Amino acid sequence: MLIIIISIMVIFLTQNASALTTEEMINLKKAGVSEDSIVWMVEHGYKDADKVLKLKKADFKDENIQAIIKSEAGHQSAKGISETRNDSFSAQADLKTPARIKIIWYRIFHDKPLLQNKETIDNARIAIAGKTLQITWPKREGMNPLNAFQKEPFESPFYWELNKNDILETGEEGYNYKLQTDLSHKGKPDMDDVHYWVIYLDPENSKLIEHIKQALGNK
Amino acid sequence: MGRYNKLKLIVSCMVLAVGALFLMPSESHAMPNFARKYGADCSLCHTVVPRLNRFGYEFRAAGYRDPGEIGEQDTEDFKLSNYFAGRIQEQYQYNNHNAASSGTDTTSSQLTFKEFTMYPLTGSWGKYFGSLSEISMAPDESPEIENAYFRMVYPLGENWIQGRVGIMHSFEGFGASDRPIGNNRTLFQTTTATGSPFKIWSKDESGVEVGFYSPKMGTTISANVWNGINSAGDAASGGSLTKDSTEPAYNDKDFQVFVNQFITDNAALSFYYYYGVVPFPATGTQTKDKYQRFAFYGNFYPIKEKLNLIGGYEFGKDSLNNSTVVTGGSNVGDNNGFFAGAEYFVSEKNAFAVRYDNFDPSDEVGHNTVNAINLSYNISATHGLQFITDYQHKETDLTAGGTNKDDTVLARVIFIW
Repeated sequence: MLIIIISIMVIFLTQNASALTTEEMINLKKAGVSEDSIVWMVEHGYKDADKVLKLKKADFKDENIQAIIKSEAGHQSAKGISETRNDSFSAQADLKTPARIKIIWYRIFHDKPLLQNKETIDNARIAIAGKTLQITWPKREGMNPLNAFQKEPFESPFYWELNKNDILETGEEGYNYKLQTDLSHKGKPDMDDVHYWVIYLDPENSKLIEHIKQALGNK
Repeated sequence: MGRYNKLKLIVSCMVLAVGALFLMPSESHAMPNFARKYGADCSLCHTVVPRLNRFGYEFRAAGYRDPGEIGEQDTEDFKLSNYFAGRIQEQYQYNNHNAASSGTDTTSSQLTFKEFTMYPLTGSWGKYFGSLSEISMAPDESPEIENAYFRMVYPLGENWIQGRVGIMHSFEGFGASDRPIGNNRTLFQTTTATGSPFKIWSKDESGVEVGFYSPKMGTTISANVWNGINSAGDAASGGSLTKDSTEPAYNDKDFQVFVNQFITDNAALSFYYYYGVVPFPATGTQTKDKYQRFAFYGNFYPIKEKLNLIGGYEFGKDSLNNSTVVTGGSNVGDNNGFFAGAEYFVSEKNAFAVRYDNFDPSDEVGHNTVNAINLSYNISATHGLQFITDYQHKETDLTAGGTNKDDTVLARVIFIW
């Protein structure tokens, strides 16, 4: 029995071993690799940081490095559809900014909010295109055995289709802003009769808030 | 045990526990299969694991589903990970026993594996069904079935009725009648009275239950028919755990009623009644001992979400409280016990608790009361990892005179996934 358990643990540990480490990301940044490329590598589980460093050292342009690593990562893989959406969203975004966020999913129980789940993400990126927010964040990094058993509460990219009744107000819990779904909210994130969503956010570029206000009808 | 050593022991345990608090990230899951299925944090169902909040209480009563889902077909694809969990428990136990008769101290310091537990087939099924299996294995012991029951729930307007069949824990409580913050349950649940070897808790009996729950009124009523216990005090649940067909009470059944009434969303009153029949004494010429146990529990939060006060009282009566009936019967009498305690929730992931326990196994016997004070610290760490540490000072009065004293530290690490 113990052998089976250990085998299962090893499988999960090795599955989690694909992400870039913080040190590798810093080295890539120091070498001059664009942040967009680094984020792409993280989001798509591309982990051959050494190859990218060598290409950069050999003066490959960023767009060519991206083309190479995308090709190697298998652009038409099972992830292809969401990747394409991700890339096209990023291309048409009105604004992109790093942000510190907390996503909270509440369930209404006996007329009171009850936490269903939450996730704090200090290194998120928010893009807004029209009335849609796209929030992305890197996968958990490293071969931390504790990470192996952690199910990420929410998946990146996380989409929020801004509805006119959504509420943007002053934040709490150390965040400057709070965005909340109205119970009549349509589209992403999905709603039902008993759940609602809140995102606390601190965007680096405060113009994001102006864009959100515009999308909500200048509220 | 010297006062200095005792203090050193308590301080060491608390330092270790608080150290764990700062080392560990602040996420955890209780029954992780449910957390996986519902994409939920453990706080959806628990205050500090294993203590349930009201949603967790209703979730369980609804057959391990969101109560709003009773009668709805589960449209999600079947995933084994949503219906299976496993738990590993390792523990360190230090005990110092001071014997009144000799005045000497004996100590025990043991780092042992408590048990490995599997929860297969645990979750909701179809529109109305649910099941829980809990199979525990300690080193070199046969697997123990703690729970293996099938549950049906059926909506009646805003309320629902439910039934269970199989092996199950004694009752499904809330607040003071729920599981403790620490490792140790109160004495009157885990100590036998003089007379019947029955214990209110830790006997997982085989039986049938019917129940009713009203979410609006916050009222639960359940009634059980149990196969009962044998003269050794084991639940006669099947397999090698049976009643001896030559003993009295072989075909008798036990009965139980449990009522829980929510006062607020986090406070409740509970009532427990049990009627059983058991052969007495365990050896020699036997007769039937018909016994009854009553228990009342209550809790409330004077400081919202932070400070919880708990209390409980038990009274028991055996039919053999008459010395002329049977040898050994002279010691059988009425028994009673109580507990009172306070729990302080530092955060949603860790809590301190203090509790005083008292139990008198028989009022026919003088100087046989047991008293205990329990200090507990419980912290949920990352990914189902949990540390629970208890210190207990227990004094057992001896009929021959004097008092045995036990000081015990029980530190348990629990990983559930």
